Amino acid sequence: MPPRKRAGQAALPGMPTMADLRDTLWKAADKLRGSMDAAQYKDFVLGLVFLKYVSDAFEERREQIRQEVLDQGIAESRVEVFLNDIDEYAGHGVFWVPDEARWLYLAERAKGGRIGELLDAAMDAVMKLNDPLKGVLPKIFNRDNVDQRRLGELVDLITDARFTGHGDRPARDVLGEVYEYFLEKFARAEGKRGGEFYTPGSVVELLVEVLEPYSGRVYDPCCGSGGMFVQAEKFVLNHRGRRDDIAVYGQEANERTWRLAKMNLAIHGIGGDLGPKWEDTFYADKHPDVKADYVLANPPFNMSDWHRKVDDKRWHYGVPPAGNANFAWLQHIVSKLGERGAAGVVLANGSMSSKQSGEGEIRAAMVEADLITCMIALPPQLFRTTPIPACLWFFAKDKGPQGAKKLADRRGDVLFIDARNMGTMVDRTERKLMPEDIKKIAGAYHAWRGTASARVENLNYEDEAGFCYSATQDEIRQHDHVLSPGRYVGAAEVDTSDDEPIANKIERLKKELYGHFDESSRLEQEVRTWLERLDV
Amino acid sequence: MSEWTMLRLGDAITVKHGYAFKGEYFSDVGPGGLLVTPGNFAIGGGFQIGKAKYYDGPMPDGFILDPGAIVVTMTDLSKGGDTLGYSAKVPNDGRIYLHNQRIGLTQIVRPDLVDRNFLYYSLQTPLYRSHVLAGATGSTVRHTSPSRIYDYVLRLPGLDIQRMIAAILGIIDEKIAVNEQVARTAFGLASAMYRRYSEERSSWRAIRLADTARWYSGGTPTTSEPLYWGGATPWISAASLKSSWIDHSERRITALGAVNGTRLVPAGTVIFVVRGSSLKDEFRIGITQREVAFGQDCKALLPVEGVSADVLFHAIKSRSAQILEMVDETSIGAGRLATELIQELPVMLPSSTEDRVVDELRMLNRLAAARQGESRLMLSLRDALLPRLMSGEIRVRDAEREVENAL
Repeated sequence: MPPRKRAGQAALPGMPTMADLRDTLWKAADKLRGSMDAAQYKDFVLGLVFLKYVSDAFEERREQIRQEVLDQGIAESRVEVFLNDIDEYAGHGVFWVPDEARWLYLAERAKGGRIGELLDAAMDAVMKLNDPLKGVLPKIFNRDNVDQRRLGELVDLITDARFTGHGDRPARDVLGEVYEYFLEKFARAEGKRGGEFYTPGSVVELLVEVLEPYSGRVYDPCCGSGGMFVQAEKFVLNHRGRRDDIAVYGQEANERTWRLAKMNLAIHGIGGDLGPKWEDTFYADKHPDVKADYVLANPPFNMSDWHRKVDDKRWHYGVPPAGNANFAWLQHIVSKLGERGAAGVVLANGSMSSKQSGEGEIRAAMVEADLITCMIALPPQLFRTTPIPACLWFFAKDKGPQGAKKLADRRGDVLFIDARNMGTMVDRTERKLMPEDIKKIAGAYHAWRGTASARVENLNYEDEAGFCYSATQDEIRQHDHVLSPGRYVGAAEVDTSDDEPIANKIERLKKELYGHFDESSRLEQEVRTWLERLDV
Repeated sequence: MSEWTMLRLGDAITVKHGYAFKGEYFSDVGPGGLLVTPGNFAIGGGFQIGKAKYYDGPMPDGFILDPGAIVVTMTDLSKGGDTLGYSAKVPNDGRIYLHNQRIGLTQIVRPDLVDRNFLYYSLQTPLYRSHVLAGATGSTVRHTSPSRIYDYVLRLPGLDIQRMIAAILGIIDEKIAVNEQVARTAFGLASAMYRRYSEERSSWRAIRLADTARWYSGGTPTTSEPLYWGGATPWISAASLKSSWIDHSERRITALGAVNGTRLVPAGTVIFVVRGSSLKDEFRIGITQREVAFGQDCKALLPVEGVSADVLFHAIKSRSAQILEMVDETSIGAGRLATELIQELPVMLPSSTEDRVVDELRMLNRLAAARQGESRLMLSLRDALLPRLMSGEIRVRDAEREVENAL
C-alpha cells in the first residue's frame, strides 16, 4: 500500500474498524427499511455495497498500477495509458468501472433527486463491461416505491464506509467479510425464508473440514448465496493452495438468491459456473455432465412443493415421495459424484429415521449400496431461523483405500458421530460450533478414514461412548437402517431419552397409555364398589 | 362388632433417625443413591419426587431404605409446618433411596396390634398432625422427635378392619396415581407426536411466536379488598401455574375482582410464566380449561384464527430449553423473560387447523386435563374420608359382619 495513502488515513480521527464498518452499513440498511420487506431491501443494500466495493477495488488497483508503473521508471505522462488498460484490472480479478459508475461520481450526485436513475445506469454500465456480472446486478433503484431522498442518504452513508485501508487487508477480503455478515443478518431478519440462502458459518466449516476439498470440482445443487464455495475457497487458501485449485459449479432456483451468489463469488474472486440463470435443480439440471469431486449442500428441509418426475433416472434407490424432497436431494447429489467423489449434506433430522412413503426403503438401499461414510447429529439451535434439528450426511463413491491416498479401507462401515451436546451458545438463542468442536468432529472422521491429515496429526481412530462409533452394515440392518447416531454411539451421560426414534417412542407411549387405561378402569370399578359400602 | 381400642404409638412402633450424609458427596445429577429429604413429602402425606439430590460417597450399612418403607419427616422448613410429621412410602421404582438424617423410619414391633398400611394413614390424620405440631420445637425450622411421635395415642379397630380401611384409602391413592400416569403419558404422547409432525411434515411452517396469538398481560386485584377475592374464578399466578391443564388455583376472584386490575381469558388460552424464581430452572406453561384470570407474572396467548391452542401449547413447550436460556436475572435474583425476545422465537405449526394432528393433540390434551380434574375430586374425597374412616365415624357396611362371619 502506498505510504501516502496510509499517512492520509492515519490522520483521520477514528479510523474505522471492521466493527464500525459493519455498524455503519447495517444502519444504512435500516434507512430504507419501513417501506420494504427484508427480502427487498436486502437486494438494495447488498447491490449498493457491491457497487461500492467494485468501485473501491477499482480505485485501489488504479493506485497500485500507477505506483508499479512509476517504480518501473516509466514517465508520468505515459501512466494514463496503463491506467486505462482493462487487462491491468481483469488480470487481478478487479472489475472495470467506467466513470459514470464510480462511487465518487455517484456520491456527488446523491442529493439531486435523480440518484435512482444514476444508480441503475451505473449497474448497467458495470454489467456491460464485465462479462461475469452480466444479468447479475440489481436495477431496482429508480422505481416508484423507492424514496429518492432516503436513497440519497443511504448512498451518503455507504460513501463513509471504506473497504480499503484496513491494515494490509485488501478491499476484497474486507468486503467479503462484510458481505457475509450482511447475508447472515438478512437471513435472520427474514426468518425462516432467510435460511434458504444462508447456512450458519460453523456448519459449513465443519462440512469443509471433513471433506477437505484441496482441489477439483466443487458442486452445490442448491447453492443459496454461495457460502459453501466461499468456505471451500478459504480452505484451499488456508492450505497454501491457489484460488483456481478448485472449480465451482452451482445452481439456485431463486432469482434474487442466484444474483446474491453471483455477487458473492465475484467479491471473493471465485470464477464459478452458476448456470446462465436461476433454475430449479429438479426441473432442469444445469450441470448434467458435471462429475463432482466434492458436493457441499444445504437443501431446503422437508421441501413439499417440488418438481417430481417419477421416471427420473436419478432415482436409483427409489422414487422419493411427492411430499418431501429430502431423498430427492440426496439421490441427486449421489448421482453427481465422480468416481472418487465425496459429498456432505445438511438435512433435517427426520431424514435419518423416517419410514414414511418409502423413505425408509430408499435409505436402506443407500446403506446397502455402501455409499454413506459418516452421519453426524448436530446440536440444536445452530440454525436461528428454524427449530428443526439438523444432521449431516456424508457420502463417498469409493470407501476403499483409493490407491496412492492410502486411506483406511472402510467398505461396509459407517461412522456415527453424536455432536448433539457440542457447541457453545453465542447469545441466548443461537449456538455455534467452536473451532475445538469442529476439530474434534473432523478429527474423529479423519482418524477413522485414515486420511493424510490424520497421519500428520498422528490420530488413531477409536470408538468413544456417547460420541462416535464405527458400525458395520450388519449393525445398521439390526437397527432397521435407521441412521440416528444416538442409536449407535451408546449411552452418553446426559439424557438419552431422545435417542429413541420418534416412531418407536409413540408406539411405546401408546401401549403404556392403554395399560394405564386398563389399570384405571379396574381401579375405577374397585373405588365404586368400596364407596357403595360406606355408611356415610 | 369388633372393639376399637386405644394404642400409644410408642408401644407398637419405633422411629429411627437417618444418617448425616456428607454434603461434599451431594450432586444434582448423580450418580449415587437418591437422598430422601423433607422435600419428598407431599402436603397431606405421600411421596413426591421433587428436586432430586444424589449421594455418592462413603456411608455405614443400614441406611438404604426398602421399597414401601414408611418414613416421616422430622424437620420442616416451611412456615406453616405444612409437612411436619407426615408419612410417605418409599417408591418401588428400582432406584436406591437413602435414609437421610431428618427423616424418621418407622418400624412396627407389634404387628399383632397394628397393620402397616393402617399406620401409614394414621400418620396422615389431622389429629396426629396437631399432636406433632403442638409439640414441635424451633421457630423458623420446626422439628419433632421420635418420642413426641411415640406419645400419640391412636384409636384403632381389629387388624381385619384396619386392613379394610387401609385398602379403601389405598385404592383411592392408586387411582389418583394411575390418573397421573395417564395424564403424564398422554402429555408425553402428544409431545412426541408434535415433534414427529413438526419435523416430518413439510406443510408445517415456522412462525414467530409474536404472530401466533394475541398477547395479554395480567394483573392482581387489590389483595386488601375482600370483595375481590374468594369468588369462583381461579386466579393464576407463577405460584399456581404448576400443571399444564389450568383449571384451578388456591386463589379465586369474584366477578367484581375480575374487572378490577386483572384480566380474564377464556378456555383455550396458553398461559406461561414470565417472571419469578421458578424461571431459573423451569418453564411453566399451560392451557386454560375454563375461564380464568391471571397475574402480572404471566403472559396469556389467545391464538389467532388458524392457530390451535392445543398445538401452540406443544410448540412452545417443546422449546422450553431454549426459552429458559432467554431468561434474565433481575436485580433481586428472580428470573425474567423479556417479551421482545420470546416473541421472536420461531415455532413450527401446521399450515391449517384442518390438519388431523390438531384433533389428535386436542384429544390427548383433553384426556390429560380430564384425569387431572378427576384426581382432584378423588383427592378431596380421600381427605374427607381419611379422618372419618380412621376414627370409626364412617364405617364400612357389612365389613364388620363379614369379618365376624369369617371368624
